Amino acid sequence: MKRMTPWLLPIVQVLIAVGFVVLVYAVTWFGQTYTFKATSYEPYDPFFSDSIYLEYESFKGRQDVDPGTVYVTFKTDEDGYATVDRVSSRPFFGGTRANYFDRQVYIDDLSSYRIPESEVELIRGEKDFEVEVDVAPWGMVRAHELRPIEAE
Amino acid sequence: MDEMTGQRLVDYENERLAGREKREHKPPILVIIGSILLALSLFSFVAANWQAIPDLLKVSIFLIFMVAMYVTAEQLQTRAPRYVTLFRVLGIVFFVATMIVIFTTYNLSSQIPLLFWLMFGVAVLHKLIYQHPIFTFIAALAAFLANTNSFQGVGLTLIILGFIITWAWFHYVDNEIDRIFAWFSFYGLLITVGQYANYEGRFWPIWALVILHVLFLIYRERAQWNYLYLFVAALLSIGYLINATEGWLSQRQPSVLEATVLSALLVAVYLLHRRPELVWVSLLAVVPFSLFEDSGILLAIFLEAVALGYLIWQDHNRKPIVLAFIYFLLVQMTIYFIYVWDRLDISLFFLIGALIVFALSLALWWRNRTRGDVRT
Repeated sequence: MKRMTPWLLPIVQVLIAVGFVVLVYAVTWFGQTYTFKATSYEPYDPFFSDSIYLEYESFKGRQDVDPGTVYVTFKTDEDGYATVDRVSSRPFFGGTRANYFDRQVYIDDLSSYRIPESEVELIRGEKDFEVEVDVAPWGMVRAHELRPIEAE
Repeated sequence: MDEMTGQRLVDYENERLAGREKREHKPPILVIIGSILLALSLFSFVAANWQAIPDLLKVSIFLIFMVAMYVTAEQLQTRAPRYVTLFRVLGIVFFVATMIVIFTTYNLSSQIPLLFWLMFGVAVLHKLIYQHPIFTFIAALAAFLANTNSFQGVGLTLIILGFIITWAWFHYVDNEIDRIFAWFSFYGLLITVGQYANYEGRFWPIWALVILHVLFLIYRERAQWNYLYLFVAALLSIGYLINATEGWLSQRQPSVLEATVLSALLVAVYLLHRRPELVWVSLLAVVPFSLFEDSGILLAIFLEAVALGYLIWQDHNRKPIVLAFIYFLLVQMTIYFIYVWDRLDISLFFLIGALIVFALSLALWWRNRTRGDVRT
């Protein structure tokens, strides 16, 4: 036991790091997939950043809660895109934490998307996207695919 | 010079020669430069291809570096004990770097409060296991970050986790500075609990201070952090004085019931513990009632009297009066900026202040002198 003590910390720290990574993949394993419609302010240019900032049309609109931290769930509308379902100021199990102000819901983890090297050419110069988002039963979200929508 | 001395001289020369040879065994300068260049090329290769590296490999690279730091620290234990702590600190640094890589790669910005609490816990574990003062500093930094980042929308699990870590720090680390930081972490957590419970009134900072007196019930023998309560009480009194006339304090009338209960508790807590210094903390009992009066004059007069009384009391008991004096001055400044700014000429105000201070120091000096006379 005495000999083990110095090694406790590296082990704990590796477990914490691995735990976070597993948590992220668990969102995909156990989560439900929603398709969101998103736009960015300007066409994506990989020269400036490997991330893209996204806005969601379906998050706009008046909600029946006080501004500030809110918790939301999602549902799929008739047009096939997801939108906000339940909104509450009190935390509940399965709710995703978000901010509500200026009549709009903001979800930190969805507001930017890091584009992998292999998708850069596909995304370059595009503004309108479909985003595949996994939502875990415990409320974590993970955007995992970005597809440009062809302008009709 | 006899044979013995000659032999010793020969031995000495041999030893010196051996020592010199050993020193010349250092790696030649070209090898050092070469390995530095190699390391640089490796680093730049990784950096240039960073985006192309698979996510899991990125995390693994950092984790391997982190473990390597701890292994190096253990290896150096006997050979170069001076550098052991350095490598352990580097271990924490690489842990933080790993977490930053994970958080940016997987876009986990909403989990940042959890990350800060885990960092805090890891720092406390370092302090517990390795017992080096630098880890106190790291733990305090992590505690500050964790507390300030969890004001908004923190969950119950995080609050419980925070309490467990803070308590472990407070209970198991037998060091006064650690206790002071842990105490502040407790206070910050209690403030966060108020946020979580959606407390709407204005007295939560005082409630948190009252609740913290529970620590005295469990740790009876540790009287040395009485002054923390005094310090926070002083800060609170000035904070309430500043806000008494404006902003969030005067928008809504406080509840009479709450003010009564809070005041009674403050006095009860003092009566329960009977620590002489804490009588000054229990004077906060007046604050809830003074807020019913919008102008704040009552609070100003009261705090003025308390500041003066504390100063005289400290001197009477032959205790250091520096802090009491600073508090007295702070109350003067606050009252000046809030109440007298546009009503009194600035020089007149400072003249009166100076006269008060002069009179005070004269009185103290006079008393000390006469007391000294009696003793001799």
